Amino acid sequence: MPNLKELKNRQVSVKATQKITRAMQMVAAAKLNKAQESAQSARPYASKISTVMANLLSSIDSSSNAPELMVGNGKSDTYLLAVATADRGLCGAFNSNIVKLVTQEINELIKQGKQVKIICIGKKGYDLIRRSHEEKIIDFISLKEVKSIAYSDAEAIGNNIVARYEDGQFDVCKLYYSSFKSVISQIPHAQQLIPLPIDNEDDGDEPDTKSSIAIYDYEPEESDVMEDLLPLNLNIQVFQGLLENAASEQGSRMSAMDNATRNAGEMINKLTLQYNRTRQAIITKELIEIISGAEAL
Amino acid sequence: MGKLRLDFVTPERLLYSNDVEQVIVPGSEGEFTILSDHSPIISSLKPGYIKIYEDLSNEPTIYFVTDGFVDMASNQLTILAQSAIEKSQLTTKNLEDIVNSYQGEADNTENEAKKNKLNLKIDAVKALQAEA
Repeated sequence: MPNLKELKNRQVSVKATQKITRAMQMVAAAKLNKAQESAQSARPYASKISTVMANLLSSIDSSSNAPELMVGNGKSDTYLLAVATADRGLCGAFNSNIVKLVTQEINELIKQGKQVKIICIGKKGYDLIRRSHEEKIIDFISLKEVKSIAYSDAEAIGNNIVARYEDGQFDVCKLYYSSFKSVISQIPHAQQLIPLPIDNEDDGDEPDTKSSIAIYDYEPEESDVMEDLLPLNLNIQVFQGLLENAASEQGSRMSAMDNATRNAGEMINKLTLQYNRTRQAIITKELIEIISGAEAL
Repeated sequence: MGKLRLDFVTPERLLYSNDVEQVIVPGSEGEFTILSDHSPIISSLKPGYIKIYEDLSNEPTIYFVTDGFVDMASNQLTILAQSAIEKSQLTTKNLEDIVNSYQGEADNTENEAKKNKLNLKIDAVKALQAEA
C-alpha cells in the first residue's frame, strides 16, 4: 500500500505543474492576440507590394535583362532552405512539424543530386536539424531576444539571404514556416523566395492590370525601381512568414498547454481518489486493530 | 476639385487611409505633387516629408519617411514606406541616427552603386537637418 505522505507529495507536485501550464496557456493566449494583430496589420503592406510587383512583372517579362532575383540565374543546383522555427519549446508538435517537412525536402533534393544549404531561424529548429544535417547548416539566427518581431529583424535576414545570393552561394531559396490557420491548426508551409515564383492564379484581373501598365511612368528608370523593389519584396515575404510563424507558435503552445492543464487535472482527481481510499483503509485497519484488541481482553 | 484615395502603409501597419485632395511626396528625382487623376506612376522615394492635404484649405499632415515607393494608378495612390514618423515627433536625434546608420552601411559596402545611393540618402537627410 502506498503511504499517505508519498501520495500527498505527488498531488502537490502535479498541482504545481498544473499551475505552471495554466499560466503558460494564459501567457500564450495573450501573446497570440498580439501576434495575430501584428500579422494582421502587416497584411495591407504585403498586399500592396504584391500588387505593385504584379504590375511590374507583367510589364517586364518580355525583356531578357530582368534582374536575377526575379527570374533566377538559370541554374538550380544549390538550394538554400531558410527554416523558421520557435526559439522555445513546450509548444506541441510545432517545431517538429516544420522540421519534418524540411527533412523530407532535404532527402528529396539530395536524391535529385542537388546541393542543400540551410539557414536556421530559431533555436529549436537548429537543434533538431543539427542532429542529422549539421554540415549543411551555414547560418543560425536566433530571435530569442526579440519580444515582438519588427520589420528590421526580417530586413536583416532578407539582406543576409540576398547577399549570399549575390555571392553565388545558392541558386534557389525557399522559406519554411508554419502558416496560421487557427488556434488548433498550423500548417508547415514552404515558400519560394528566389527566383520569384510567378503565380498565374489571378488570371481574372489580368486584362485590367495590363491596360494600366502600358502607361506607367517610372521614376527613376524601371530597372532601378526593380532593383530596389525586389529585395524589399523578399524582405516583406520573410517578415510575413516570421509573423505567421510567431502567431502559429503561440497558438500551438496555447493548445498544448491547454491539453497539459487538462491532463494534470485528471491526474489530480485520480490521485485524490487514491489518497482518500488509502486514508480510509488505514482508518479501517486501525479500528479493526483496536476492536480486536478489546475483544481479546 | 476631385479627391484621390490614399493608402499609406508601413510593414508594421496601415498608417493612413483616406480620400485626400493633394499629396506632396519626395520622389528620388525630386519632390512632386499628386492630385486626383494623376497619370500612372511608380517612383521610389528619398528621405523627406510626405505632405498630405486632406483639404487644401487646412494644414497638411506631415510624415517623415526614409525610403519607399509610391504607386499611383486609377486615382489610387499607394505609399509604401519602410518606416514613417510624424513630423511633430521627429527630433534632431532621429535624423542624426539615420545619417549615422546610412554612413555605417556606406562604409561597410564595397558596391559602388550602393555606396552612391546611400550617399544620396545621406545628403537628403542632411539637407533636412539644415532646414530644421
